[in-house]
Amino acid sequence: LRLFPVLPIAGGGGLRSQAILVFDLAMLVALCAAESLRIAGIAFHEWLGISLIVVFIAHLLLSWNWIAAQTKQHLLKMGRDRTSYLLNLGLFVVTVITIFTGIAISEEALPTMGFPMQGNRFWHGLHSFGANLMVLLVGLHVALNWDWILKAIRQGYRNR
Amino acid sequence: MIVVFSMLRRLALRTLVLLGAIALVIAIVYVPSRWTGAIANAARREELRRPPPDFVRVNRERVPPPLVRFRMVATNFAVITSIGWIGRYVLRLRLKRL
Repeated sequence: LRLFPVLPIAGGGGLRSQAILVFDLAMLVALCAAESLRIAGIAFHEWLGISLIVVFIAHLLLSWNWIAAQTKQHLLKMGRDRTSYLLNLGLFVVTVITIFTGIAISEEALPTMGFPMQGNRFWHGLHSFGANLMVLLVGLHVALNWDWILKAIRQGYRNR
Repeated sequence: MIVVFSMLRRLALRTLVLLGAIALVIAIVYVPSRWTGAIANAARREELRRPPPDFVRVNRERVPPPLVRFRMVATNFAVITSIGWIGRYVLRLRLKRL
């Protein structure tokens, strides 16, 4: 509870949902800022992108039960409706590629840490393509979780 | 204490699995690019038409006024939310909870 002081006090699952909602919302805003390269210069863009790796892993760990259950289900039973699973898997792959290529073309952050990078057009192209595709896939990821988001927001208002 | 260690062990294992999946994706992208020579070819082509580094840097470091910066983030947020709304109510995407 102390980790999320802005949250209204609610019981068990409600509080967890709201904590995750606040975390995910912060992640979304950070992603929107990272997507705008010119918002505060290349160094800010790179450091924000690198810090998003930790947030990205934390987001996946918070959704671990869903990921594990769905992966088992889709590995065992083929031919079922797999849209949501494939969309989330696609988002995972695109996010990893975007972050990796971002590191490969780093001009400020990695050289500051003592790792001079020699990025080229190939990585630049892949990074731009991944970043644009990510906006679409994050939107669809929001669509998949739309009901849960609305429910968590309503719950927050009710408990206020 | 045992519960805390058990939780930390589980968290560490899950993180390792995630890192393994991330490494797999990177390998799937990097290895074929390296083998086909796409990276080397791009580097060779780039050498021929590289703009002066100072020009690139000055152009990149131009920071717009605060209102424009806010608009950039807000636009991205609006685009993602609009795609989310279209996905939910037009494409009828919905997460199946187990």
